Amino acid sequence: MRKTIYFILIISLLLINVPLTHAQEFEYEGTYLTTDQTQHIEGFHFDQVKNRIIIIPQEITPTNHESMMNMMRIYNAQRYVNEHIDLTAMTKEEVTAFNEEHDINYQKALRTVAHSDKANDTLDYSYWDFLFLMEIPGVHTLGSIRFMNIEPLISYPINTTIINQPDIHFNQDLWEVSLFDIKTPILRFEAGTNTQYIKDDYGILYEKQDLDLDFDF
Amino acid sequence: MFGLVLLLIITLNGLTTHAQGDFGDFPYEGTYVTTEDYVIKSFTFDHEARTISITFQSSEKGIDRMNKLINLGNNNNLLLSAVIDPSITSQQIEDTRSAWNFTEYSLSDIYLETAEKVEPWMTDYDIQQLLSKRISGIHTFSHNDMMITHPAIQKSQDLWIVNFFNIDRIFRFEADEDIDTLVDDFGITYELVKEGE
Repeated sequence: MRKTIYFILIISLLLINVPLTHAQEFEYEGTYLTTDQTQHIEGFHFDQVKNRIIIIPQEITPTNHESMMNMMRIYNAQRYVNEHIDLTAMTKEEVTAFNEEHDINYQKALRTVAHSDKANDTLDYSYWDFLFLMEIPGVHTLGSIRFMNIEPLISYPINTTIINQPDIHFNQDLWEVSLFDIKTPILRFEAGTNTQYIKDDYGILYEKQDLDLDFDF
Repeated sequence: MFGLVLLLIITLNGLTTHAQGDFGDFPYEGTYVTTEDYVIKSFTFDHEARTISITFQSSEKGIDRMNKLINLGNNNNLLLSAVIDPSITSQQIEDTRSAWNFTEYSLSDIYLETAEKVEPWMTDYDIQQLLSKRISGIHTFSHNDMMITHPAIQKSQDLWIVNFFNIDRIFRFEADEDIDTLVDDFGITYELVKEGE
């Protein structure tokens, strides 16, 4: 009898949880900002078409001590891939498998940039390099590789961080953003039903903006 | 009369400047590594691609020099494309590009040609190396290495001098008949890495 009850309980739990997990889709789109100016991260821009999340820093960097950890999140995002994946330590076979597994196609990326109407010979090569990086998965901060000096990018804060082609997984009641199947997430958001707001795992609430910021790099 | 000859020599010397990307008779080829405690660990001279690759190692000695090189890399491409100064006219940009033979190549073509060379085992670092070998500039890849593409190397008295467009004397090496050993202007000795080593 007890076994039957356990069996029914387990089946019930599966029936409740499985459809919930699979029915979830990350539906946040556009720009979300906080009004809390003590936060280093002013907000996030979710671009579902380009499969890209942009971390928007405050224009004026807060100086309060409490938000130091908040600032570290931006730097951690930048270091994220380097700390987890060392391609230089891999064999050619391992890199080939890695590229296949994560759908990294450099040939396609180079051709896309070559044919892009954003790229022309009067722009600095660094901007071409930036466009190339935008065609492959990765985390990039504009200030890290001199991108901030390039004419099309000069208006963005140097801490602007782009998570390109992330994996967004639903785990329990959180959305977890990661790359290359790395188990440690870069960002986490509470799963809510109202897409007008999004709350990160630091409890900071960001509100969707009517006017999207222009992040068409 | 002597003054006239001297003037002629000086004039002729001025005319023998090498074209951009010309290694001239520079005899050193391959990778040269130092065992000394110095921030520049190695130089690799590739005559076919006309590049000099530099790797760095952890050392306090020569750190200013490394920073200067990285700053050149960070700023130089902007100088080349001449888009940093909004006050200059498009004609001036074209003139600059033309004077430096930048109108002879198209980045679009370089990207398409590089796409044909991609192998399945390559990383984004490999791709950036391939691209940088084709694009005149001072390229920094990480905190550990950089590449100077299409520098001019010319001999002056007993030195080989490396120039790059408007930047004079990035490096100077002692000119020696023994090409297994390279000595830079700071007196650091680099040994040629031979196959199998």
